[in-house]
Amino acid sequence: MASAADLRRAALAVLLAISMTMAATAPADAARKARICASRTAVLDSPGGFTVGYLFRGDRVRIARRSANRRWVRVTTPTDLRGWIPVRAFCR
Amino acid sequence: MSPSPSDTQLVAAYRRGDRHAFDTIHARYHVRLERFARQMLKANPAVAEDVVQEAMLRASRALLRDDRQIDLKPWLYRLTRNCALDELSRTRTDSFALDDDEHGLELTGPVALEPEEATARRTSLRETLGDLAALPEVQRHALVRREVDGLSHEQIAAELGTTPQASRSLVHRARTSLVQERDARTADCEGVRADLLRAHDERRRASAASLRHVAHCGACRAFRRDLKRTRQAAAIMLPGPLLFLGAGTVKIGGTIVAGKKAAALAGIAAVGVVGLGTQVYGPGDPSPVAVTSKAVPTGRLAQGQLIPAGTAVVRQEVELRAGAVTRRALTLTCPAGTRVADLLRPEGARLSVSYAPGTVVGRRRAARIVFAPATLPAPARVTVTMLCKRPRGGSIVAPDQRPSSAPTHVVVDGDALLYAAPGGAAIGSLRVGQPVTVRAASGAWRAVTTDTRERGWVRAAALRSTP
Repeated sequence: MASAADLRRAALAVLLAISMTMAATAPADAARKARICASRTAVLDSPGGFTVGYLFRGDRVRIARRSANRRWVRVTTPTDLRGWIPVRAFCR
Repeated sequence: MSPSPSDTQLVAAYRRGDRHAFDTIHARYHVRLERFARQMLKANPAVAEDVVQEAMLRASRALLRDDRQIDLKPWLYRLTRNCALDELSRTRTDSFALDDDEHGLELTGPVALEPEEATARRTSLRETLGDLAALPEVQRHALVRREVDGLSHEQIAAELGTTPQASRSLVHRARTSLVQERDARTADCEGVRADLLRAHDERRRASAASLRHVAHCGACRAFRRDLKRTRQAAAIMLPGPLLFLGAGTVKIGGTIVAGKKAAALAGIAAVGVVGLGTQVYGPGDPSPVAVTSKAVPTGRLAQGQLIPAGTAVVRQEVELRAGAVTRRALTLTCPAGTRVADLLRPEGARLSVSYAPGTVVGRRRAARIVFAPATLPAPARVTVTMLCKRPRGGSIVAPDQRPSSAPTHVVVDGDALLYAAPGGAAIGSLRVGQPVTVRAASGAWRAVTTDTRERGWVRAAALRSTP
């Protein structure tokens, strides 16, 4: 019969495996923060969609993902809104 | 090797339903047309490609409209020229200063004018172009084709797919509008202010002529603004219960207060935000700001241009109190029957602002607007502006900005993404309630075109078919 220590070790191993799997599959940009360098940029609900917010130079956003054509980035704004802004709005 | 088909053969093939024929026409002419458009749009050659795309779009529709004989090459050049003229008239007043001689704008003609006269003519030209840009697109097109190209009403009607009588009416309305705009500009400020005062006193809208003048005259605009502020300031002196009288609601700092008296109560109930009055501009009012949105025809509405049917602009000036407040918010409500569309550019302090999560474009009448956390050393004023639009067929996108295909499904997942390919990289997002057209299916994925003309793949589970 497995001891309590064995069970703890097994549980830790499972947790470690899960966390490693998640780290391997997470997008490279996930949770990265970036600063806006454009004087002002509109946040759109989708590239080519409606404007749902505005950011100004110096604002920091969390990057969620980049679009397939690398021209747009999905971000979470300081107001907790998720939307898309053009890559050119960021500091190079 | 087979010889390439002639223009006539390509037009005939396209009219028979061969879509590739138009691809060949596009490939044959687009480079030449772009070069031609760039020459016309010297001030802004970057839009030449867009202009040619617009011309090609018009051509593809017009060719299918009837079977009349067309000399393709000169016809495409004419279409491109007209689109370039539209673009010029829309943007010229913004894109460069007409007083600037560097742009080579010669207004003096064969006889040199006195500097004062030349300046007056430049001003007049700038104003006329501004008025022309403010005309509805169809009216502007009809007027330009009649005045610049000398086309008959029968020819214009054929281009626009309407009747000669309707073409006459369009040109007449366009000319009348231009004259009214000119009259409004030159109207006596004293007379306009007297009308504004009377309207303010009687709590009604001022006359259309006065509002047109206000759109052009900064001093009268300031006068009208001051009138509104006076009433709001007076409301503060009223006893408490009267503050709740009035139509429409504005929610500030978590407290619902009534219409035009909102400012007074906001001063009491605000959490870092003081409302200074809400203004609602409806169809037929001059737009207080320039609008770029899929919800308006042509995607643009110039400042001062009349707001189209089913559309409204709601503005609120707020004062952000000094100090560190983590959550400053207010709620703006669209007029009955309309839904939240774009958040328009804020004016005043440079503070990031957005709809709060949960405010879904196209779904709700009220929008909660949130300012980013910031420490303000002194009170700051910001004017927040929102566009509202009446939905048609479940969509708030203007008909000319939508795809031609009818929507077949609606998005039911608020976090749905649009992908370049099934399981591939994301290219955009979808919002709850957004109408889409399903074009193809592959397993658990659907190829869609959204009501804003975005194309991609989405998980089938995120969609529900429309009844």
